[in-house]
Amino acid sequence: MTGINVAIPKSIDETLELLEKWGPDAAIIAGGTDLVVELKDKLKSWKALIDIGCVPEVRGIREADSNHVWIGAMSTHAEIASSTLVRDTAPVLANACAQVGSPQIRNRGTIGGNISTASPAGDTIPALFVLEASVEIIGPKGTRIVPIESFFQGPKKSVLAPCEMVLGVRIPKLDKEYISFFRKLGQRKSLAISIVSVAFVAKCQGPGLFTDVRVAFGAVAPTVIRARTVENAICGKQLDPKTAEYVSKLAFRDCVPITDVRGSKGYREQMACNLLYEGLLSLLSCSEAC
Amino acid sequence: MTKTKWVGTDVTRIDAKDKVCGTLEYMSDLSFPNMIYGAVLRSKYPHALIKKIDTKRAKELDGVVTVLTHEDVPGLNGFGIAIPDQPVLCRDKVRYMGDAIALVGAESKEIAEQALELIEVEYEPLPIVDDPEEAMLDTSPLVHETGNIHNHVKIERGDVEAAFNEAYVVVENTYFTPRQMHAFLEPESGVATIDDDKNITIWCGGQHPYRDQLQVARALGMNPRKIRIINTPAGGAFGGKDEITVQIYLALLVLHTDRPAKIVLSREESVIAGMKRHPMKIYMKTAAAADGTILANEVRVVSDTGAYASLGGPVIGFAIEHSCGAYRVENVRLEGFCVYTNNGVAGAFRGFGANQVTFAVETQVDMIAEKLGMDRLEIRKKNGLRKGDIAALGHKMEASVGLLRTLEAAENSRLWQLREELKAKPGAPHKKRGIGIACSFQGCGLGKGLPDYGAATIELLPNGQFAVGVSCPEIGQGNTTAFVQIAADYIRCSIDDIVMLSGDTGHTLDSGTSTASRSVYTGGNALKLAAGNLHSAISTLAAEILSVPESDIDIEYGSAVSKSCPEKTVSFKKIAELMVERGKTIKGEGYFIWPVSETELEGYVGIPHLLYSYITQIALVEVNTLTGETEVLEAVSVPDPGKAINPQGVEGQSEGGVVMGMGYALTEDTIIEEGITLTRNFSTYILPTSLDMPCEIETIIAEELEPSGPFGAKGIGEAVCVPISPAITNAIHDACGVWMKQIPATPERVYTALKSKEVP
Repeated sequence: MTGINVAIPKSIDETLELLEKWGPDAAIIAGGTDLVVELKDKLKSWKALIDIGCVPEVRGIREADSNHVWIGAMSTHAEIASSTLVRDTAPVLANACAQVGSPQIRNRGTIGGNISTASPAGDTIPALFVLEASVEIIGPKGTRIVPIESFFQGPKKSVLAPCEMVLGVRIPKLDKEYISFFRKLGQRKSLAISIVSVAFVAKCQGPGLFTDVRVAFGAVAPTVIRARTVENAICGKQLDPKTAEYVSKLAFRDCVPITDVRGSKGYREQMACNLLYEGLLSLLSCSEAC
Repeated sequence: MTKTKWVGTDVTRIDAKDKVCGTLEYMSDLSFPNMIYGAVLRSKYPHALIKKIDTKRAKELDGVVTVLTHEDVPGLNGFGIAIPDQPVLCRDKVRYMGDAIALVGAESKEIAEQALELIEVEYEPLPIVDDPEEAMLDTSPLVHETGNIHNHVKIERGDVEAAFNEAYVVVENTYFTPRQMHAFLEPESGVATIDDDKNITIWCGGQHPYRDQLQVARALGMNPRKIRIINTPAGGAFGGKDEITVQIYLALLVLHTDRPAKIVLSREESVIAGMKRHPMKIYMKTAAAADGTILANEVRVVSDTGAYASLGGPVIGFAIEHSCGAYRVENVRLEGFCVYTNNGVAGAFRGFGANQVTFAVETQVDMIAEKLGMDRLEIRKKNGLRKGDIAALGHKMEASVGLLRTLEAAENSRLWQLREELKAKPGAPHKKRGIGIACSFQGCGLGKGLPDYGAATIELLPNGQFAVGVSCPEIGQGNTTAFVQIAADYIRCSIDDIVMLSGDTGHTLDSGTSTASRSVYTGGNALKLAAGNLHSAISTLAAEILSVPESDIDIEYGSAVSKSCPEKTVSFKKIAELMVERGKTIKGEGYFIWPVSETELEGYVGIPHLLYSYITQIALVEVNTLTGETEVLEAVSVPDPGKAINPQGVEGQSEGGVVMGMGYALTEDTIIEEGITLTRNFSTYILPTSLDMPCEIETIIAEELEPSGPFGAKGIGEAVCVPISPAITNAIHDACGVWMKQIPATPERVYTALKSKEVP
């Protein structure tokens, strides 16, 4: 092994220059929780790593305007999970971040990395889907904004062009009428890759009555998906535990999972339905949430 | 029993400070000047003939010091505790993905790894057999030319058919158990040096330094005395370092290069090449009378030992010995097969075959209790072994039997007493709680027919302290602390005056293995004999000093005293000074040979045992019926270790054992398909984390003193991880009515079982 070049740019402009200089031989490294594994397993052989830890433009969690929260790509899961702003205006994302990996991984791993890796099992992504977030991408031609749902093209595939990188995400704030949950099913309670995950956001019109329903699943399709069939079924319908069970069973219609070492296709389909049902049950059992 | 000052107290572990402060080095942390780094070329196929090995390009790489193949193994090209059927470096055939073909020594780890890629091996792939039952068929590809059945055990007693015909209830099931991984903290690693006289020293994680020495000597064709093995108490083992790991590779590298060498396996390489617990398929048919008396048990076990034997033979024997549980069963038909396949190698692992069969038999017993409407604890008490009983193999339980004591203590535990109350409050309506109980016994020592012995030394040092030597390595279980306590009470000195020597062929006599729940019993008994001899030597000098006859000398804590004239005393420190003055040495050696059962089972070695530890464990679980997730909320562990030399140490073993047995029951499995390992590291091999642990593990020590043991001790290292697994699966049944016949009981398996229960 001849080693690997590591560049530590101090600005976004410098980062873009480095990306252009190295081209496909370079990779952006943020927390490294996915990238270092790929290096170790020799799945990739980059000549250079561009460490964006000192780039100020990708840092911070703040109000972009009165309706939006902006989260820099370099924000760690731990930072997002403990951010008062995120917990108040997008609690489903704070919950999802709190369930990523382990404390060590949450302290290193970043939201920009989770998005860029484009794993169908990435835990922040279903939350970003139901929040209808947008991804800010920067590249040689400037900045562009892509809705999160259009960002992913398949497992580990996204719309990021060569020499482009994620700058941050813009999240429309949810007002207090919205309720949400995030639930992941893993093989254990911590350090687990999701077998299935679900994120749910809706406007609560009264006990068991939801509108603007948004449901997203992880690890049941080549990318994270919105489950529109089940969203429509829940929207405006008065739910009780019985009807909640019935509508949750529609979740599988939007799922096309695979069998792997973590779970079979059939189990994943059923779990998509049951995790949603379980979440709805807990919403129904605490109607004061509405 | 003798009054003790240290035994039975919570003495702080002697390695605690170094471990907590991080000053104790892992073997892989050791370095020497001019050291080379070794790397092993593993097979590309699970089963293939080797047509050609070309190392030329690798040798030409800058920084490569040596590239070794089978041609460079001076002695026997094989290793294996039972039979040396595993090649050090393969010559003409590979039998699993972990098989070693070449060994590189280079200036850096990176260069060594790069050189591996330059070694050209021409293979001719062979058909694979990855299912042990298929491997038993005549049509199967042969893993070894001698046949795929490595070992066959068959034991019959009584009249099984008549018992089944008379029985009120018969349960018949087939169980499957996983390939659990030891997952020790430090993968197989070590460092070696060689001096000008070709004396080799190897620092390496291990469990029997003297046997490692013999296996290395055999492969090198060298006098074992020229090889010193040193184990240090870091890194863990759990049985997975009982067999040779990297010792022979280290020795070959230093022998061929005259330079120090280091090998550290990556976790991924350890997963593929290292030992595992034998996966077993267990057929079991059990009969009982209307009153719950177990009448008969028919058992057929097929055990997958993978490509090489290691301890697969003794493990299947041990499994058969324990396959009827800790119960009286008069009619048995027990058969076990240990079979070669092209899967990863299985060998020794904490529990040694008891874990698999205990899962099966303890489920059977619960099923019988359910059919009879009998209390689960009562049926165990009714059939449980008592002293003097005849156990399943027809041997008499002659030593201490603490099973009933553990069952009774479990019955009185808070968890069992409050079980209905605790079950009634699940976290949500779709979550169901249940409680499970299981018990087992665990043979201590190597068993009938295998020579089992151990030696110990005690030497008075010039400063008045004592050097105590027992070679059974400290592998984290706490045996060296127990040895210090035992030695201090036999010598009658302070624990602070003991310098403990362990796991080093250069400084200790052969005390045997740190396996088989044997080291405290063996080392303790050898220390008792050594202390007696030491006292004679002390008495001789003390008698001279005090001018009294030797027979008048008594040993008290810290000094020798005249019995007739108690004011005449001389401290050990003073005796040490005079010993130095007079140019003498004062030391005692003890040689202990294990007692064995009178019963001999012709044709078998390692069974039965004379001595057993006993245990009952309870688990409270909550099952999420929507997902199949099982959470172990609380556990109770009631071991009978004989005398608990260090109660805190027993608690530590017990808690660790509960979590290891929980992983076995719920999540852990090394999945190998067509000879290829799919779970190559800890992202897919699912060990429990701290969040998965029960909120509370209560350990209640139920001591049934063993007269032949040091201060009444037996052993407890293994039993603690055994019955907890079926206690958990029995609790799942109690919670939601499904019997788990395959472990790990993953969420998907539990959910699938729940779904199939719904469909009548």
